[in-house]
Amino acid sequence: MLSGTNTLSKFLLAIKRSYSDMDVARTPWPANASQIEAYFSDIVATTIFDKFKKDPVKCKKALSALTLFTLYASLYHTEIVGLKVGKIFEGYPANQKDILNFAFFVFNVIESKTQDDIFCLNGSHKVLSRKEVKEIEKTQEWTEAKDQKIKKEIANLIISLESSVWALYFDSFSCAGKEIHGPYQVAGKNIILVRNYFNLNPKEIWSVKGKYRSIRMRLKYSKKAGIKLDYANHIKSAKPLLNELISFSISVDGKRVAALSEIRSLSRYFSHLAKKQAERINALPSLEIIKKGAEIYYYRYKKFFEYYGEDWHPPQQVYDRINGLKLRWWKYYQNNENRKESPSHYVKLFDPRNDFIG
Amino acid sequence: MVKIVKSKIILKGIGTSAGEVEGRVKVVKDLNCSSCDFQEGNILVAKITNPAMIMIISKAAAIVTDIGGITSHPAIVARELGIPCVVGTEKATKVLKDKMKIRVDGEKGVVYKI
Repeated sequence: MLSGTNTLSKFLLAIKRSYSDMDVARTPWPANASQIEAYFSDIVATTIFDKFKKDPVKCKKALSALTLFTLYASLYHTEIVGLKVGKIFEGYPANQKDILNFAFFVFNVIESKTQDDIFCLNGSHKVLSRKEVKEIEKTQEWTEAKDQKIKKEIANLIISLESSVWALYFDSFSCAGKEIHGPYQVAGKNIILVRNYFNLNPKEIWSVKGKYRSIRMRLKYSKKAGIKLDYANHIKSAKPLLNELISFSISVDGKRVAALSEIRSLSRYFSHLAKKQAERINALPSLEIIKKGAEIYYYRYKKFFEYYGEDWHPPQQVYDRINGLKLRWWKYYQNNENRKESPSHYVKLFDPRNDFIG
Repeated sequence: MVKIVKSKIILKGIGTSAGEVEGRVKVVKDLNCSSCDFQEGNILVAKITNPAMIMIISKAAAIVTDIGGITSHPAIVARELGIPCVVGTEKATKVLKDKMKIRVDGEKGVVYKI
């Protein structure tokens, strides 16, 4: 059971480290997180918190249905900041002790889905057990990344997938459309990194029908690559990754893909998807981007709401608020684009023990 | 004796993907830019990258941006592609002009005019 000041200190240290490498307020496409989430984060947070208060056991089961990285991201953005905002602006009855208890509750749900330090302070996100990693190394069919041509094509596939999930899920891409975990130590001073793009065709939020649903990449790199993951699911590496790739195992909708021509065709497909999707979003008026952002945000919680037998879509209250406030928060946070906050600003923001909301 | 030519540093930022490369600048300001007359080997200069730029990113010899941190999109894609990248220069799109010849040092986070 995770509890106590030490756990909270680790969480805040993880936040500090993650945010020291980001330029958060200025991630301008299609909007920074605050430009969208300011309209409804308290509504999501208080909805979940009400369920927690009513029946923690049921709430734990419902939260467990979410992807690990949704839990990570939603913990600080939604549950902590959303509850503070609800308390300050809407008079929601949650005190600091309640918010702190709820943070620990979510820490423990996250812990049940991981194999190691949940705050990734050692630079890794371990989802698989040692036994599972050994099994993958032994049983997967690995293809050697024997020359620059194939290495470059794998890199192209990765950047086209990264761009696609960003275009499909906005700022929620790091949890709604992909999960990255590892690095896992394996024989020969190598490591395995898993990239799982598990929902590349979210037809519930975009009307366009995609050709592929999921792509799972298992990539074996030399340890020299110095790959580290942080709490916010970002990859950092000491060296450019392309040259350190040793072998790979890729499956598309469960079917193995290894030939250069197949990988190239996938890269082209996803580059095209990212480009078209970005153009579609760039053509939307700002208010529609906010509404679409709300829909994507709630979509992250689809399985949570379905566990309760409820509709996952944003409630009318969210749309009423967006229509009422119009571009107020959009402009406010856009105008703050040049305000570069220090990591300690975010530590204070995500600390459940205060009422600071920025 | 080899003469060492000292180049002038014209921009400083955060080096997010190691390596040094020389090339000609192409400043991309259009959010919807998917080709923008971008030639293979050009150095992509933008406020920040976005998914619409994916086709040109894969042709770039290096990336230089006004904003972003080491976990930003340009930094991540550059590390994957093994090309130098400097982010957070604050003024790359103002200082650098199309066809200007520059050298990007993704380790030190600097851009030289050559």
